[in-house]
Amino acid sequence: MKKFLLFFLPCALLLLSGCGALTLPSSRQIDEWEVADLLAVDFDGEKATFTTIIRADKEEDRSVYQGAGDTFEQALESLQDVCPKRLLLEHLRFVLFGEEVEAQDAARCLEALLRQGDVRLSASVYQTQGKAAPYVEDSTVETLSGIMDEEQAEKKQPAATVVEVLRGSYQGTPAELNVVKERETVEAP
Amino acid sequence: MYFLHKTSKNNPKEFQLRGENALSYDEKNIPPHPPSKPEIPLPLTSDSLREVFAGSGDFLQHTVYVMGREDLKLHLFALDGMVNTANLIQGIMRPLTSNPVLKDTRDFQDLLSRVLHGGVYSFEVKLREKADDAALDLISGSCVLVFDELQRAVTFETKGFDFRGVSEPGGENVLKGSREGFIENIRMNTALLRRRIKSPNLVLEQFVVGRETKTTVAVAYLREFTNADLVQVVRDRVQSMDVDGVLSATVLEEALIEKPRPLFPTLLNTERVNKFCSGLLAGRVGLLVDGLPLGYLLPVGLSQHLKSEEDYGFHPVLGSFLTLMRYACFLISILLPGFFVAVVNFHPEMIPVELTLSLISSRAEVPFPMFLELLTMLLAFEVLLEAGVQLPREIGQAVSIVGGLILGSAAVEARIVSPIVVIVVAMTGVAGFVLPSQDLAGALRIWRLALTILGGVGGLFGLSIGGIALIFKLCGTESYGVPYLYPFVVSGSPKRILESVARLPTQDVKFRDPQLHPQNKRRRK
Repeated sequence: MKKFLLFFLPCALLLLSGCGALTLPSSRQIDEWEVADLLAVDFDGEKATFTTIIRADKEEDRSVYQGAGDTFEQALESLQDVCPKRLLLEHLRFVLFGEEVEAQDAARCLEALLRQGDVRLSASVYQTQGKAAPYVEDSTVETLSGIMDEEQAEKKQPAATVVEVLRGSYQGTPAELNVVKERETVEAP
Repeated sequence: MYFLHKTSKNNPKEFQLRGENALSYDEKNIPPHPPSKPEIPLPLTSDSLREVFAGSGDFLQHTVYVMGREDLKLHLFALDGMVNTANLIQGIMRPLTSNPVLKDTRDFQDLLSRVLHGGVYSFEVKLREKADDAALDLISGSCVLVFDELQRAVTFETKGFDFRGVSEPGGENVLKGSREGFIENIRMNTALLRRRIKSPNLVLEQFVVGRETKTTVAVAYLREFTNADLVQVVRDRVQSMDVDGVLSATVLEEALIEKPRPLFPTLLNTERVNKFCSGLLAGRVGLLVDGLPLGYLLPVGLSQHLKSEEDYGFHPVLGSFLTLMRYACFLISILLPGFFVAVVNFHPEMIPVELTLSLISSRAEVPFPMFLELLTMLLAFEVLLEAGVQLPREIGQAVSIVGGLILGSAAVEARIVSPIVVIVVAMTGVAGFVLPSQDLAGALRIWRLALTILGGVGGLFGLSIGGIALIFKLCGTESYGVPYLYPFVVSGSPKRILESVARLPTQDVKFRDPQLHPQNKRRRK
C-alpha cells in the first residue's frame, strides 16, 4: 500500500497540477486545436504550397494559413509553423488540388496527410482549374459545397473521396485520378 | 498532539479514566473473545437476579403471596417499558392471587406445575432453570416469576413495547404495487411475510446473534423450493458470527459475504415486502434482522440489482424497455465521464465537426484543463449527494438550491467550468439515479471516478484497461456460488439472458433459475 501510494501520489500531483501536457504529449486541451476545414494543395514542380482555412463560428473569424516546402511533408510542417495553435486536419471536408498536381502526387500528398493523423477517408477530393489556393481563400465550406453540388448534379456522379484517390494510386492506374480530374473540375467563382 | 492535551497534572481534580496503557493496545496480547456462557455463575434465585440488575432504573420487582398465603411467597420481576403493565396485572398477578385453580396448593412443587399448566393466563410460559436464561427472557420483555425454594423460575411472555407502524418504504418508491415496507420489529416483519406467503412451506429459522445485543436473525426460505445446501451455508455463516453487537447492516453483511468483500453488492437488500417474497418464491434465501427495516436476499448477481419489481407491474413491452434503459444507464453512469475526457483530450478527431467547434467555443475562457474540471465537478457532485443525505429534511432544500445555482449556472457564467462538463456530470449522475439498488450505485460511484482518472491519463487506451479490469473483477465475483455476471457468463442460454435484460410475459417464465439449483424447478403450469 505504501509503495503504491509512493508511486501514485507523485503521478497524480504531476497530472492534476496541469503538468499533464508535459508528461503526456498526446493529451491536449480541445481549445488548443485549430480545426481545419479546407485544404488546397498546389505544386509547381519544385515547391508544394499548402493553404488551409480554419473554421470558426463567425465568417470574419475564419483565418487562412499558408505554408510551402520542397516536399509535401515540409509544406505541411511549415503550415503548422505559421498556425499559432495545433492544426487539427482530421476534420477536413474538402481537399482541393491545383491543376498542375499529377495523380500520383495527389495520392502521395494524401498519404503524407494520413501519416500525420487521421484525415477522414470520406473527405471529398477535387481538382481545380488553375491554382487551388484562390478557391480556398475566397470561399467557405458552404459556398464551395454549393458549387460542388451543382457540378455533381450536372454530371450525376458523386465526388471522389480520399480513399478512392488512394486506392487509385495503390492500384497504379493514374487513369482513375484523371477521371476524377475530368469530372471534378470546377469553374472559378 | 498529545502535548496540547491538558493533562491532569495541571488540574489534579479533573476526572481521569483509570487503566493501564490507555493510549494504545498491544493487540497481540489481548486474549481472544472469552467463551460466552455462563454469564451469570449464580443459582436462579431472586437475590441473584437483583444482583445482576442492581443499578438499573427500569428494573421492576414485586413480591406476591399466592392466594394470600404467606408460606407461598414468589418474586415477580420485569423491565419497565419492555412489558405491557396491563397484561402483567390482568394475566399474571390477578390469577396468582385469585385463580381458584391455585386453591389448596400443597407446596412449591405443586404450585410450579399448576402455574405451568394454565394457573396463570399467559400463552407463552417457559420453565427456566438457569439464571442466564431467565435474565435473557427478562431482557426480551418477559416477566419472570422466581421460585426461590426450587431455584427455578417461570417466564411469561408479556411484551409490550412500542414500535413504528408498517409504512411506505422510505428508500424505495412504489408506483404500482404494495406499499408495505419492513419495519424495525422482526416479529411484525415475519408476520408480513406470513401474510404474503400463506404456506407451511415458508420456514423462518431464528438465531440469536451478538453477545450483548442478542439480536434475532431470521433465515427465511421455502422448504421444498430452496436448495438445502444453500440454506445450510447461510445457517452456518449466521451461526458462526461472534461479535458483541449486531446493530448496523454492515456487521451482518460482512459476515455473510465472502472475503475479500467485493465493491459490487452480492447481497440484495430491500425494504419492500413484495420484492422480498418474490425473491423467496424464486428460490432465494432471505434474511431478516431485528432492528433493521430491511430484508436481505441471496444469492444475487448484477442482473437482480438492475431489475425492479415495478417492471412486473407494467406491460411486458414497457417493462422490457425500462429494464433495457436501466442497463444502458448503468453503462452511461460508469463510462460516460471517462469516455468523454478520453475522447476530448486524446481523440478530437472522433467528435463530429460541429460538436468539436461548439466544445471549443464553450471552453473559450475556462482556465482549467478539462480533466481537472471534470474531476472537480464529479467530486462536487458526490459532495452534494452526501450533503443531501446527511442534512435534515427541513434544511435539505438548501443543498439543492445552493448546489444547483452555484455549481450549475453560476460556475458556468463565471467561466470556471464549461457547460458541457456540467452536462456530462449531470447526465452521469441522473443515469446513476435510475438504478434501483443504492449499493450498486455506490459501487458505480467509485468505479466511475477510477475510470475517469484512467481515461484522463491514458485516453481510450487507459479507459480500455480500466474496463478490462472491471470485467475481470466482476467475472471473478461470486455470490454463494452463483457467478456475479450470470446469466451473461456461464449460462450459455439466450433465453436466460433475455429474461434478464427484458421483462418476459409471466407465462413464458415457467422455470426457476437453474443456477439457484432449486428443489422445485417449475414455477407455473
